[in-house]
Parts: sequence; C-alpha cells; structure tokens
Amino acid sequence: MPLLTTQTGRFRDSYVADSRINDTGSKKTVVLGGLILLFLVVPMVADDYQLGVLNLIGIAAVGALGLNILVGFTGQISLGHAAFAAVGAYTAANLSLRLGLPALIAIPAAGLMAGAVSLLFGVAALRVKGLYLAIATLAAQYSIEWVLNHWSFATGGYQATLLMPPFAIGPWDSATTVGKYFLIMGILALGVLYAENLFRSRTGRALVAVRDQYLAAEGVGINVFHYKLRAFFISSVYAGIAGALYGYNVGIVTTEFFPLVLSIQFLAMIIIGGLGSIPGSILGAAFVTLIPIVLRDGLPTIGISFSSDIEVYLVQVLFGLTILLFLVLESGGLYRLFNNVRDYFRMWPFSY
Amino acid sequence: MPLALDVSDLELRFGGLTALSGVSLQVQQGHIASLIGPNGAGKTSLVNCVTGYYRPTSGRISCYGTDVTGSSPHKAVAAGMARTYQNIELFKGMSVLDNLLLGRHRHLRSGLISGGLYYGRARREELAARAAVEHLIDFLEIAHVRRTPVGLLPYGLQKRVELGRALAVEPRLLLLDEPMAGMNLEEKQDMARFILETREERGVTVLLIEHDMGVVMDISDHVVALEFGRVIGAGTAEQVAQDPRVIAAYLGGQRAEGDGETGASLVGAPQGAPS
Repeated sequence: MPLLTTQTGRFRDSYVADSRINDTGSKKTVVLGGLILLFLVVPMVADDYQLGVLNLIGIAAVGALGLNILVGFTGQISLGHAAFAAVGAYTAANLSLRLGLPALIAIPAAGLMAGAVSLLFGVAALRVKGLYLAIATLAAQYSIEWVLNHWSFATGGYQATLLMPPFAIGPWDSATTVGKYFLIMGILALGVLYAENLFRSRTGRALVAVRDQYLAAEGVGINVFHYKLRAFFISSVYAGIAGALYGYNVGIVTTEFFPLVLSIQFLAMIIIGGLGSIPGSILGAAFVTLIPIVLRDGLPTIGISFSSDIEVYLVQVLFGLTILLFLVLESGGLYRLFNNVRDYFRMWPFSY
Repeated sequence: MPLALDVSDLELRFGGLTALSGVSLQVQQGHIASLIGPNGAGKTSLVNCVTGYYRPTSGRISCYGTDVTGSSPHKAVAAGMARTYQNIELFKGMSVLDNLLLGRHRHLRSGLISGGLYYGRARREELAARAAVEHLIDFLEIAHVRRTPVGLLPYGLQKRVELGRALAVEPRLLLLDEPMAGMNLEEKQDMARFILETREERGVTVLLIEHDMGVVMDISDHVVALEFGRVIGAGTAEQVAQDPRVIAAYLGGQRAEGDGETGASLVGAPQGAPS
C-alpha cells in the first residue's frame, strides 16, 4: 500500500471501495496520523495551558458540528443552539449531583434531553421557513433561558452555579486537564464518525435533499417535516453534549455560559469554517475560539499588547470582519480555502 | 383489476379561479396515457393534484385502488407514484449518483442510529441501492456523467436524470410533465424509447403530459384532452385527433365549427418530424 500517493483519478473496482470515508491511501494515512497526533503525541508534549485551549476548541467543535448538521446540511437556521447546550449542561449537572451518575452516562443523557427539548420547539418552529424559523428558534433561546433562570430546583435559581463533580475510570481522571482532553477529543472523534456515516447513508442524503430542493424531496417520498425534525434533534444532541462537556471542563454550570451571543458564535463558526462541511465545523470552531485567546495571550508574547478595554472590542471587530470577509470572498469557508490551497500544490506547476 | 389511476369529478379552485372543474379520467394498468391541451388548460394542475402537491377542492383520486385524495407528495410516492416536473426540479448541487440514490429513499430503511453506525444492514442496503442505481444509469446511458453535479449538465441530460430519479423510486404509476419540452428530434426519440422500454420492461403505467402531437400519437394508448380545466375529449389517439372539440381547442373555434371534415388535422406533419 502506498503511504502518501497523489490521487490521479477515481479507480475503484467495487461499490464498497467507492463508499469509504477515507477513500484514498493518502487520506487514510492523513486521518490515521491525525488520530495518533491527537491521542498520543499531543497529550504527551502539550502543557496544561495548551491542552486547556484544545479542550475549549474540542467542545466548541462538537457544538459547531451539530449546528452544521442543521444549518449547513439541512438548510434550517437556528438561533437557539446555546440554549440546547444549556439544557445538556444542566441535565448532566443534575444527573451527576443528585443521582451520582458517572459522566459516561450523564453526557449521552444530556444529549438526549437536549434533543427531546428541541423536538418540543421544533414541532412548532420547523413549520415555518427562513427568517421566521430564525425568530422561532430565538424564542426557544429566550424561553429556555427564562426557565433555567427561574426553575430553582434544576438550576439553583437566577444566576446560581452548580458544581460538576469530577470522575475517574481506572488511571484516567477527569479532574486533570489531560483527563478532560481525552474525554472531549474522544467524544469529538465519535461525533465526527457519526456525522460522516450519516451523510453517506439514507438519512443524511435526505437531509441534504431537504436543503437543496424540498419540493422534489417530497416527490421522492421524503417526509420533509419529519426530516427537519430529525436534523433539529441530532443538532441539539450535539449541542447538549457540548454543553455537558463544557460543564465538566469548567467545573460549574451557570446560565451565563449560554447566552444568545453563544448561539451566534456557533453560527459564526460554521460560516467561517464552511457550511455543510464536517472538517469545516472543526476549523471554524478552532478559529473562533482562538481569536480572543490569541489577542489576549498570543500577541503579548510577540510584544504587541492592548489595554483590556480595547481588547474586548477588538475581538468583536475581528469577529465581524472575518465573517464579512468569508461571506464576500470565500463562502465555502476555511475548509474550501484549505482545499483550494491543497489543490494548488497538488497540481503545481500546472493550473489545473 | 383496479385502475392505475382513477380521477373522478375533480375540482380545483384557487380563490375565484377555477383551475379544474369536473375532471374525470381513467388510466388502465400498463397503459401510456397522454394528457394534452393548450397552455393553461390545467394539465400540470391535474398532475399536482394527483401527486399531492395541490389539495383538490372536491372530487376523488385513487391510484391502484388506494385513495390518495388530498394526500401529501410523500404519501403519493408511498402509494406507488413518481413524477418529473415541467421545470426540472433536481438536486442541482448533487451528483447524478446522489440524485438517483435519493430516488431509492423509500426502499431503504436505515435511520438516525443505523445510518450513523453504517454497519450491517445499513451498509448492505446502501451498497445494494448503489447497484440498483447503476442499472438505471446503464439503462439511461448516463454513465459518463454519474459524478457530475446535475446543475452542470445540459438540459436534455437533466431531463433524463430526472426520469432516472423517478424510475429509481420504482413506481407503479409514472407521471411525466412535459419530458420532451425543448428537446431536439434526437433527444425526443431517445426519451420516447426510454418511456416505452420502461413500460415494457417494468410494467409501469405512464401518464404523460406532452405538447408534441407526433409523440403523443405514436406512443399513447389513451389520450385525454383538457381545455380551461375541463375534459373536452378522451379515447384513443386517433379518436381524440378527430374530435372536433379538440381540433377547435388547438386550431381555433371557427375552422372546426361545422364538423370534422374541414381537413383540419392535429398531425399534419409526418409523424416524428420536428414541428
């Protein structure tokens, strides 16, 4: 087997070969190398600060991937993603604090609870399209926030915080940064695998059909409303899991973690990363997470620093600017950009 | 043996506008039936009613004995129908393969869990669907473009892909809304051949909306003519072509005022010639 060969065309001799996710030898090598890097090399060489940053990126990537399934792949907008993350975070917090359930049960349960709550809103919201849907999901964001602020049994009341207990399985302790790193990256890897599989099978294809041409989707027997609900459900499961992970990562949960701005940041991640692209979701999550960190911690190390009041606005300005630039110049996002650069070098010195 | 399509006394009104009124038509199993009529006669509205896109104001529609009146498009598909559209409604960003695979949607079972695992049955059925789709690709002679996004294909090929997507559904009743509009002679002949072979090999009943009278005369077992939302003639192609009301609708009222012997004919040109 050639390790790093350049693809010259598609020469598969079976449908199995044609349906593989890692469809070329070099892609397989890259993915395998990436996994080794992610799970073996990085945890050994990175310090706690760097792992902490990666953890934040990983959590954001889980959430962004979920939103991309809804917005990028199915074409339905949502401004309530952060609220579903909040539902997940509080579910996990309650399950582990009150029932003492381990995280490996609490986290999936958090996802399912967020999914279930999203269906409640989705049944109403997904009957409308476009801008109306955006506003309907905004209603979800605000009503969930209100409930969480006032339902003191589940959340401790307005702006209260809950402590998330750490857990350990054998030598692996979730209290350490590296322990969290494995948890987060493991879940992210599973999330990516699930999405990859979904979009090479019936359900994922139907979701994309709903986005591209919903009348024709009905015409081949797809119940468009049901599939929109499914997309909303999966997307919120990802959000709920991301919310629970965030709770474990920080150690506390408060409603302040999940404002409307976070929903918009999730949208920014997938627009910058690439709508309808799984790797794009991760790139976008990394980009958006890194902007404030680089401004705060990165630039001072090379001798540029801002006063803290300017820095806050600078983050927002950069944020807006990058979204604008991507929308105007490269609507395919970072992933398309990456592909273009890769293709340029693959073809070099020829133009195509 | 139930009728492939039985429409009785169908009425469709949009506010004050009556698109269809008292329309009844029967299509026998295994027939190729054609729906003709001038622009605005209500042909597409009728197909939209049958396939669940429009909800008729009154009347009944049944497909192979199943009542489908006022259902939704995906339920019409479940009842055994598939259709193409007058203004091609393909998934333009997707490849020909994906478009056809979407046609297989109702024959696959995998859902959120099994699809996400892509293991066992989900994987097997995907591969089986791919094999089925490749047969269609062979049949329609579109192997060379199977990877091409359909939005980039020329018009004639898009029409062919759309027929393929409808066939992938494996319908019992296929409704084709002007499959040959805007095609040249050669493309029309190809399309007519595909329709005939579909009927012969798969036993599919076809309801065809078509303006090219040469094609209609050649391949139809049964012809129904509509004008202003009403049926003005039905029967074999020859009967309908001789029907004075049909001739009047196509050629204007005065020439056919007296009787059918004015020499007016709907198929004056040699059959199959470009019109």
